[in-house]
Amino acid sequence: MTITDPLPTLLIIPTGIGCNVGGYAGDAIPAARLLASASGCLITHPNVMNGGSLYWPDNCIQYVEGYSLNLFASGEVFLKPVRQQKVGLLLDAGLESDLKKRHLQVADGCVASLGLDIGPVMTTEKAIQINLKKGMSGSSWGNIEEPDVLLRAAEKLKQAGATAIAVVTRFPDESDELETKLYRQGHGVDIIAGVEAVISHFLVKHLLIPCAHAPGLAPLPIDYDLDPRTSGEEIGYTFLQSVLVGLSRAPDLIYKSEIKAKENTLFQVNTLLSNRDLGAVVVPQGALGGEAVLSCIERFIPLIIVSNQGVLNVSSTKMRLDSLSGNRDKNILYAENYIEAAGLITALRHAINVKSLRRPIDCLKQLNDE
Amino acid sequence: MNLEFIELDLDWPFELSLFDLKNYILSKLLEYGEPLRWAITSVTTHSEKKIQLMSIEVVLIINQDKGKGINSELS
Repeated sequence: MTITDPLPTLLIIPTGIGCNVGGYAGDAIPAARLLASASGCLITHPNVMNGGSLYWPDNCIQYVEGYSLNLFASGEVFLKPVRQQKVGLLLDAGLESDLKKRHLQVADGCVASLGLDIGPVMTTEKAIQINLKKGMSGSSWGNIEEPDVLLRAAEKLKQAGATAIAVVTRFPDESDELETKLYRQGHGVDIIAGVEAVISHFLVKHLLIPCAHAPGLAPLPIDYDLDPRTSGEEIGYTFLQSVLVGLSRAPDLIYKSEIKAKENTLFQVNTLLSNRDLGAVVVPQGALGGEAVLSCIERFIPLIIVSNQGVLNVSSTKMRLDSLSGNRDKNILYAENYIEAAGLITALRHAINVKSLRRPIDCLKQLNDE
Repeated sequence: MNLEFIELDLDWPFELSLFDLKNYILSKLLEYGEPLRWAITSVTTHSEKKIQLMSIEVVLIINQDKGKGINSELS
């Protein structure tokens, strides 16, 4: 390893918690691009990269859905970068014919204009029915009425050759109007985001291939006070295009047990990304209670905690991170924003002691003085 | 199979290290079903009781027969 090698970095901005950066329509993409540039290898999830109609493909970014991200962080799954996935398209039978056609046209467009490999296409045998829910914390959640129906259709796509799956389900139009208005004006939580994550978690858990979700929704009337962070969801008929682009280069997911069972293990491991390769994890202050973050803390992966207000207050103090002693606290770094986080990643990547960059700077202490 | 969203509170004893917290939570969630997506969504401290209380929000996979034992008050 040389100091110019990439420093694989995990960027987490949890879905459905209204983060100031990343709580809207792909509005963390600029931050992700910056961190990818600083690290040379950024692993992040659809909530960060999906901007409705907007997207940004970047060879330094690995697009990894949340459930697989948890498995990766805990060391259960390795990531195998690929040139291209064959993205199967799974459509909910609850989509009206015009809305379904819009999504098929987006998929056709991605083949014709972007060169993606999309197909086969499958429609569920009946509507899967979405329930939107909100937790006491203000986070968005939800569930689906027909998980077996969804899974059966997804399994058929995988059997037919899909190596990744984009799923589009019909979301209720009658969801809370005030919540939607607040979200579009940049003051609320994305009320549909939580259940989107649940759907993709469910499919990845059962199929272990990259999956991501786009909601099927009727267009909303124009809002003259629209926050720019939500605009990516207002400029088209579907949110599918960003999902297809993300999945088309998503890494394969390889279970640890699969590697052990095969020959040439050393060669394989050298071409895969594992949690042992991680040089840093970047996460919002207040959102430190997620599964992937806890896995990274267990493994002493340097944690860069960024001020990025959302509805949660599961802070470093509440999680007892501020009271860690000895060498452990050296793995905790704080940044006021993602620009500062990029600086910290650059310092870690190039082996520049972060203490040397800050003032005041303390004199060295002799052990025998203590 | 069903997917259920529930919210529950768990004690976080002071003697339980942060480094063991994930497995502790998972072991508690498994009593209700198979955790699909979860997060700690608040932590409150009761210094007089030497305990912290965590709120967990979670979507569980419940197989039909196992689901009969779930406490609906948690939902």
